[in-house]
Amino acid sequence: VNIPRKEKDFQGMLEYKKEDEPKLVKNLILDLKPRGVAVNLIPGLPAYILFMCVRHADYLNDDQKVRSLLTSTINGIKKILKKRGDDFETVSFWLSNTCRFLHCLKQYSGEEGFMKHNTSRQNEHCLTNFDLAEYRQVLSDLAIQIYQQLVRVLENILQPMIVSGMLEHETIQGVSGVKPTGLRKRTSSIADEGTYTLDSIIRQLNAFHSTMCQHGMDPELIKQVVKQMFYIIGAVTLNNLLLRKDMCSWSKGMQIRYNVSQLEEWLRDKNLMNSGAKETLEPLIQAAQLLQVKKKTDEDAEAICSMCNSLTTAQIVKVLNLYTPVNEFEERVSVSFIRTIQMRMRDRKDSPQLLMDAKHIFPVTFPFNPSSLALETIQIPASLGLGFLTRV
Amino acid sequence: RLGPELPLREGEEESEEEEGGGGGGGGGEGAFAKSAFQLTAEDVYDISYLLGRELHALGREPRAGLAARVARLQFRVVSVLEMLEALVSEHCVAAEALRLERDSLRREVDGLRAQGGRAGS
Repeated sequence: VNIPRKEKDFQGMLEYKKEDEPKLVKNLILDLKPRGVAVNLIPGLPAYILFMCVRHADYLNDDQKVRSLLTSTINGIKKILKKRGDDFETVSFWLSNTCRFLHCLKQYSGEEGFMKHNTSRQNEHCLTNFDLAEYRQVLSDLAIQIYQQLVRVLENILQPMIVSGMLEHETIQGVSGVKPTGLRKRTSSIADEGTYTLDSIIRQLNAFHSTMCQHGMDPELIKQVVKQMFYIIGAVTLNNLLLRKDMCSWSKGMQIRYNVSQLEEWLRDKNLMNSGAKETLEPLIQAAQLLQVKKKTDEDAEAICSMCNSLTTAQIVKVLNLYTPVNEFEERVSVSFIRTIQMRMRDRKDSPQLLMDAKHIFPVTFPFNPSSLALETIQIPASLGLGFLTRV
Repeated sequence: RLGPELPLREGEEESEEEEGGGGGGGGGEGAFAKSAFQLTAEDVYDISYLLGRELHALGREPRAGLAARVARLQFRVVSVLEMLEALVSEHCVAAEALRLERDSLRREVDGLRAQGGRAGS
């Protein structure tokens, strides 16, 4: 006769022997692959497991164990980011998990402000002995550091694609007046005969976005990353426009507007229109418009001054000076026209800045994002090699 | 000469191309359409992500007791996928070992044939 075994009621804690702590950090942080069966099925799993270990140490009222675990955790994350810090996947993975760990420490802190969305069962899981607010501050600083590292990594990957893909590669045929670049290939590849195209950039954005989604990164954080990526694309493109004579023509304006519209389409497709990413392209959009509008009469000058509110006077004048007609329908911009613009802009107190700071990083925030996951249901997948943890 | 080709081999070669070109990231829906023998560990991770999303959505349904049952199912799925990952990886390694063995035997045969030909003439 088969007697059905009643499943034990777990409290959502994990116990380990003190001497196993280095093994825990090694298997859960240092040796963990950012892509695998368990972490892909349950994004944030390492953070939940770590928090469940903290809970048991708190339950034992063992302040030394809590302190030691939190210190080892933070040092472990720092160590893996030092070792594999140029790998986007690793950095994204630990940014997501550090944030999730921070959210857990808040959600189960016992502070009312963080308990609004908890189920009653989740409320029973709050820490009872220790106030970890100071550790939350340390983790939040760590998350900021990881975010900045993430931005540096994606900047290094995007940088070589931007000028080629946004400015040099011709996506629309027959407007440039320059020799046509042959038939456009239907299939898009990252490098089109060794040069990057707009498609390369879009594919790279897709790869970044899908990695962050798979890691269960907070949607609000993904938005900030995307805004930062778009800022880098806009700033690098505009700076090159301001430095190269061959980039300031009517047809380049056309090209840039088309490319920008493709980037906007990508935002719409990914539901990121409210991320503030589009707005970071405004200076570039206005520079592209400036390349296309008429530049002769006083009315033209007035229109330019009211249109280009995201460009400095220095940038506007630079574009007009560099402007090079590529075909017989276009004319040089006269010196008197540029002087008219300068006169009109005189009382606009803007910075004398010409180039944008392409290294600028918008300050990041990590809004509290509680999870519906029930800790008592979490099991330890065999592939993590954490057999020495006991569910309590 | 060499006898009938095993259908497995062709599939194997195709999967190699897949790995080189498309690997990493991606939506993952494609992994479900693949032949089992072409699966890579990366495909298993994509499948894992998709199933995880669906289970997560299911676990948020307000029906009583459902969340706990979904959670139990979730870890069963993790176990099954871990097995699948092990099989796929093992299969790739075994196939690679057999391919190396076959190639070296073929070279040996070709070498012996060439020698035999020279000796005969």
